[in-house]
Amino acid sequence: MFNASLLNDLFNEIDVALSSLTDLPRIGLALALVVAAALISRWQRADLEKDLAVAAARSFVQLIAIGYLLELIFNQDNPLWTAALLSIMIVIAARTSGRRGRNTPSATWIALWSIGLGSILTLGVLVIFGVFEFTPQAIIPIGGMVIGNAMTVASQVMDRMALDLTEQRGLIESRLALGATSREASHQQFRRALRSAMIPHIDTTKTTGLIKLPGAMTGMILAGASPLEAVQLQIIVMYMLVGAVAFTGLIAAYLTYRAFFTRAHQLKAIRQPGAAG
Amino acid sequence: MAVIETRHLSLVRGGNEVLRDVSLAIEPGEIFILIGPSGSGKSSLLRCLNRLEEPAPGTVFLRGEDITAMPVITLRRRVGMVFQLPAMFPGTVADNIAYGPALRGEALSDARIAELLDMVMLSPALADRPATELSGGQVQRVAVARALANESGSAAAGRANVCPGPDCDARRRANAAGTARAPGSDAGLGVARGRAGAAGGRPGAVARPGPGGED
Repeated sequence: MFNASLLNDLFNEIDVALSSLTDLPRIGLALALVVAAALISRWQRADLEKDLAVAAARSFVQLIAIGYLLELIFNQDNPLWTAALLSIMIVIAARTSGRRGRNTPSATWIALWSIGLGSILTLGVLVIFGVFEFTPQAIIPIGGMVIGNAMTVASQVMDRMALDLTEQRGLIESRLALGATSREASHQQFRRALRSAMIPHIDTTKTTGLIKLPGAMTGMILAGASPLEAVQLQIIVMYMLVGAVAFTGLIAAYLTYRAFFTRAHQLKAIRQPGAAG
Repeated sequence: MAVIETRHLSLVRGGNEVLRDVSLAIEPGEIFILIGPSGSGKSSLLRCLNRLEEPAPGTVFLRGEDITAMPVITLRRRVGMVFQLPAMFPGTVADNIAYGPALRGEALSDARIAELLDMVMLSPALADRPATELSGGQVQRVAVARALANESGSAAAGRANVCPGPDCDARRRANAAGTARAPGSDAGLGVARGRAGAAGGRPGAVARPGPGGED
């Protein structure tokens, strides 16, 4: 049934593709460390061997697949492909974050809007200011970092706010009962959620380079860039992530507070309301 | 005309029937004490009066006006509410009392704060104390003063008192009345836990305004 020449072409393609994986021997040697980890797990009865095997296999397959996909997109150099890949990354991040925020009504939508808008705003500023060009080589890895950090922040904001709004129902309803709007009544909880999500990033930015070399910089140095080149890019990355975290955090906090109140300024009963008698 | 009236008020929350067909009317100057066991929906009823819960249109009226047709913020300024366990806001007692007016951009004078504290039988010297350092009884009174500072006009003051012992119904009702009889308000509604009729009370027993507010 198969067209023989087509099949041949396919095999050829695979052959060429596999032959570009020149580092397979080195990967194999690094695998020795995973094997060592599995032995330790076995010896200490940590019962993690299966997880280790799955993790090693999954990371291999996922990364090789992404590698090929990126090769393909880089060669096409079509902005639409880049945009499509970023969109997929945003959707996956939103789903992951939405699962974390199960105590928040419509958490996945909140995550999608906040991660999406926060990331696009950040990348937009970088491209408009000419810090990076809109090439797949620049925007995809940078976008990945931005989206990854935005995801963490969206989860943290939703989590913290859901907890505070539920636990401090008495305080919030006391404010509402005195004529406060839902925004006024949840002002403290809003601010605390935003702060708690931003502080770890600000602290990381403060100590960067002193405790550990950040990933982007490590990669550049390994790939042969000079340390000064690497640190300059890293500074841009750190500033960029602070922006992404602030944008995403603000949008997530706004949408989360909106999700918890009705239009008539009532705090929704996610659990039993604090009764007055 | 009744200050507060409910007509066939029912409330379902999370699939559970909380209130069924409650009709009552509270006339000007009246203090209305509602007694019922735990979980019978007393506070849910109160929460319907200032729309912390959403009643159906045409079931709750403030001076004849359907409350669901009023702007909710206006409604809540007119209907004061005191919770069983009032939450004090961060800051001083004065900050707490001034909260409602401050939302409208109005400052409350020291003299007015002293006056409000006096109304709830607290010393004006408490004004500068952090609100989180108050005793339970003081918190209740500051919460009443805080609700009064909004110059509600009509006050539905909710307050439940849990009081052990067989002969406490009179005292419990007096306590609820104490809160409900917020000075300067047109009418009051208090709730207390207990069994209707247990101590000669009847559902919807009406107490006349008198010297109250003492715990």
